[in-house]
Amino acid sequence: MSSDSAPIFWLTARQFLEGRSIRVVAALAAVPLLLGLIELIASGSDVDPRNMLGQSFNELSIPTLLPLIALILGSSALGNEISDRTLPYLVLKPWSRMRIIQEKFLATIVIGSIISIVFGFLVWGILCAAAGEFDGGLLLAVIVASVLAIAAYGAAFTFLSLMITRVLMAGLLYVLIWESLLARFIPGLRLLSIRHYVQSLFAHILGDATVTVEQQAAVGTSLIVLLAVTLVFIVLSWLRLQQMDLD
Amino acid sequence: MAATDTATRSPQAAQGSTSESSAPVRVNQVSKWYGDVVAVSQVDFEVWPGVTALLGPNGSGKTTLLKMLTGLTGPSTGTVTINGTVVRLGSDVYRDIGMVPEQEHIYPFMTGYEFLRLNAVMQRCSDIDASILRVLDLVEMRDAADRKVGEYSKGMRQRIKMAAALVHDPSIVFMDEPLSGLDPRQRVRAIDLIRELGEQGKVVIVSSHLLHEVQRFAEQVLVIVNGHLAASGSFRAIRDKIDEHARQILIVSSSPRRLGASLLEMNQAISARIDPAREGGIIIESNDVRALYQAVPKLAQTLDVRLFEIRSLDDSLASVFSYVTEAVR
Repeated sequence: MSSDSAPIFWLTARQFLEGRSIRVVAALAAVPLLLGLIELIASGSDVDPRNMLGQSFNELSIPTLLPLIALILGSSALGNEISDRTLPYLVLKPWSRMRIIQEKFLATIVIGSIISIVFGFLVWGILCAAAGEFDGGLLLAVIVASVLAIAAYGAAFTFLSLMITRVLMAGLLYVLIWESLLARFIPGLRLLSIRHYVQSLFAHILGDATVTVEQQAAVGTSLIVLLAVTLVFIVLSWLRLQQMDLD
Repeated sequence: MAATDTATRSPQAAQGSTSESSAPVRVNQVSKWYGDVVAVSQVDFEVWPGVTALLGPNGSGKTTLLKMLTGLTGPSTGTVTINGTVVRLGSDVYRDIGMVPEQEHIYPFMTGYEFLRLNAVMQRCSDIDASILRVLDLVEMRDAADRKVGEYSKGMRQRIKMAAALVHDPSIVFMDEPLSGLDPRQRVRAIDLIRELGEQGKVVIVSSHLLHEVQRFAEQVLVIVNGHLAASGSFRAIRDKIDEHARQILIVSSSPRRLGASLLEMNQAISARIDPAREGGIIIESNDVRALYQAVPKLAQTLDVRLFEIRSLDDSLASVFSYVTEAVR
């Protein structure tokens, strides 16, 4: 995919990589690596990669870290263009607004996933090397859950950035109160959170009792819900970008 | 003078033809309000090839109008069409449009060349490199093309924005305060460029709040005041209307009373009053400012009065607009 065939994707990727927020994203993605190293120091060769990484990914990455990474990238993909008033350079072109949304969204998924997966791979590799066995299923579960979580959350926060100006604050409250707190402890709300379906899928791919999810959704249901959430927010973002007044 | 024509003059109309084709830019009974605030009210005009100035004081609604012309903002009522297409409904219309926005921010991590390439690619130019080189030469930025935009001066950013708007050779160009930030030499070059674009048969709509700036490039003027189209037509016609009204001139001299009395005697002044805020100052009200400007130095020489300053007190655009907008105030 060249810069001429997908110019907005490459523009957005550069905006992410040359901005300051990428450091925050990298720091968040590095938290599991830090926890893995601490576990390694504490347990030595007795470390259990599936138990350690599986638990920390399920309890920390899915409900908190991945949504925050998606929040930072998703909210700035179009939000920064609006606040910097550079969006006219993109919308005053013979380029459909759906295409603009798609390329912005793709850059969010690609950059967010690559950073998350690289750090996930590092912690997986270090723990597995210490344990002397490489657990491919665990790595697959981390990769699939990371990509789908960033896609769903990223689409939601992209839409939010087109609706309100204080998107980071609103997104932070959503992640910390709804996804990390209410949806975790109130059974009915669980089904209304993105987190629940990512955790269900993660547990299914792991395929054992390492991670258990209450009211676990089926694989098909989880996939459909996550893809539907992603698609709905992309369409809503497109409709919003069509109608909103720009500076 | 209240609203005059509702359209700038078409080439056919100028030649007395009765069969007018559709204007490239049409604004039909457009209004825009934000909550209870009316930004633009019932504006109706057409624009034909050549340079047309959208003239108005700050906050008059001209930027809102320019945003509606380019589709950045939708009208609350009425329609804006570009080459017959309602501008908010189709993206293909942007093949014909170039826009120089007022805001300065450009992606700071890009070089000038990369910024132009982004624009050329998105405009689907057939020969991207040739298009970029052409506009770099137009704005005299070839030497700075490899520098990052974040390092550019305000004037350089203004010029690279102009280059980006012209990279696909559009037939309609919108410019929002394009001379802002340019040094005197660059202003001359930019004005020449705007005139050249008009002479090439492009529709060029330039927003400005500076009357003296506009008269250097615009053939047609749309005067926007308080969100209304206060006047439209040729620059000369509007200027003549302005000149018909009394204007206030401050003259600072060694003997203001003698000078004022003589000007009244010569019928060069309607009234004269001492300016308490300025030592040696007298404020003259005149119907014929040009004649007054010519008469004062000669009179001062005759009376042996030393002149220190002569300047119009109401050359600001806001004052000038008051002459042409009595009906909308």
